[in-house]
Amino acid sequence: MGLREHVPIGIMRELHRWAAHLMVITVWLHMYRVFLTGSYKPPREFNWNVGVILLVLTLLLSFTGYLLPWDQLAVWAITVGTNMARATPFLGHEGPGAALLSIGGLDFVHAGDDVRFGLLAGRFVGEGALLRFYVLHCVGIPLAAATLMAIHFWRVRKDGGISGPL
Amino acid sequence: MGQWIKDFADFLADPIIYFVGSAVGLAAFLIFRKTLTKPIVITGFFLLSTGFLVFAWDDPNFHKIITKGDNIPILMLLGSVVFFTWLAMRRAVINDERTERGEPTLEGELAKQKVFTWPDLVYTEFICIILFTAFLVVWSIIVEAPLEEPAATARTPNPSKAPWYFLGLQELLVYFDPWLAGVLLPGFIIVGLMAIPYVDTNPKGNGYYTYKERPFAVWFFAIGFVLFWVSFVILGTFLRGPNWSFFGPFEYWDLHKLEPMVNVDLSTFFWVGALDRPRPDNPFIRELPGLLLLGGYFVVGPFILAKTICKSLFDQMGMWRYHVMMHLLLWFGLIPLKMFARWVFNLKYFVGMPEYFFNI
Repeated sequence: MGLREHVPIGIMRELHRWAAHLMVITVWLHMYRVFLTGSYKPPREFNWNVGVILLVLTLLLSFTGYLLPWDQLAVWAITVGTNMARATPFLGHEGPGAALLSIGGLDFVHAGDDVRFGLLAGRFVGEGALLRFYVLHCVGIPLAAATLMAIHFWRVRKDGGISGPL
Repeated sequence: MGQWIKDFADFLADPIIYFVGSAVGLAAFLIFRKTLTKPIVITGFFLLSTGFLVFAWDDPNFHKIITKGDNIPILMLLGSVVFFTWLAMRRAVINDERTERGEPTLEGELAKQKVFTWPDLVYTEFICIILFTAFLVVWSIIVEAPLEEPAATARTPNPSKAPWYFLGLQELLVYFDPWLAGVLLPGFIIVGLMAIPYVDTNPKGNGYYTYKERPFAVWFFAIGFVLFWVSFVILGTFLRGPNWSFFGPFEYWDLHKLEPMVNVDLSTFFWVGALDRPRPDNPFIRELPGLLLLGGYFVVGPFILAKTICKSLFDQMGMWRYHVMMHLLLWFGLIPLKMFARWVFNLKYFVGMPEYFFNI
């Protein structure tokens, strides 16, 4: 909200959102190119793996950021996205195998302690989830992504340049 | 005429026709790559798409879905994936011809000319950054970022969609339970991507576009990325409305559109259909046909393939590498198999054990 109300020329929120979408698309297309040029083959296989992790981090950055406007779109998109975690085998309370983890009628995995609860800090998308996603979006994932990006670019140089023949 | 085109577009966008059509289109592009990578083809494609966009612009339903702020990048995704697939295959065709004549590849030619990082590269990057920023500013001025009413956990919007880049996975929910579509399969995608350099032992085609030197790899990734990821994202964004029902691009998003669900488990087909008796109570006996089928698919399948059509692959890759790759590929293959089983037989689950949340 601050971006809309307090920053002059009022397009900061737009810049942030459109650039974020384009980042996801760009990372996908980059992976497509690297695959089709066979640039994951030795000696670049380590950097391909760093790239896959960066791809996941990019999606997580976008996913955590999706919640932060705290409007209907945000909350329900994150609800749909994290509902999947309920069904994690053994770790989600609606996942296969979770029912086996109980002793004498006492369930170890239920809605109050499963992996979805861990993601959201609650049984539904609430204030705990907002705080958690905010810290991940602004601090946690950027730090991890920045470190891996540094390694990524360093390896590009070390491994003989970007997507070219060796 | 106009109405006829709209009806035809709605008809083409039906999930089954859309998917099969995309698959046939992609296959045709890879097979007839020599002809279809001519510049005239991609020019024609973009002219036709623009023409279609202009024609469809006035339609209220089409206009609504296409101009939604968050959907504009997906149109860019569609355009860029088509363009870069075309470009990659074009360079691959040229490279393959050059290799046949004994000449270096386009990328090999380029690698001979070295330039300095500073100023040549940094200068180019700087210009690109400025142009891109200008583009972004113009875009941001024209289109406002969406902001809906404040969050209310008591009111569920319909449709509730995940962020657009996960809509491919949400589309899989039509065919699979969440533990597969939302947990296991995405996990396999990540693990599978990371495993690629270690299971692909083909030393050729390193650092340049080629088709002939690694046809299987090209087919695999084109199908996985273009067909099962990007085309599903587009399907989920533009063609899925309330209740995740299908809506053509010119169709009104009617909340009350009903799609009959008469899907049947494999166990019902077996016990009730084939043997004409009620299903057994014990879930393990009840689901025996499905368990045997999937067991055969995942456990026996790789061994049979290793002895028959994939023998040379098995010898070349070694046992462990072969089995890791086979299992990843079999999981991937389960997706189209289940889709076709659903379309043709209305199959609900191969193995349906709701007692244990274990449905495949």
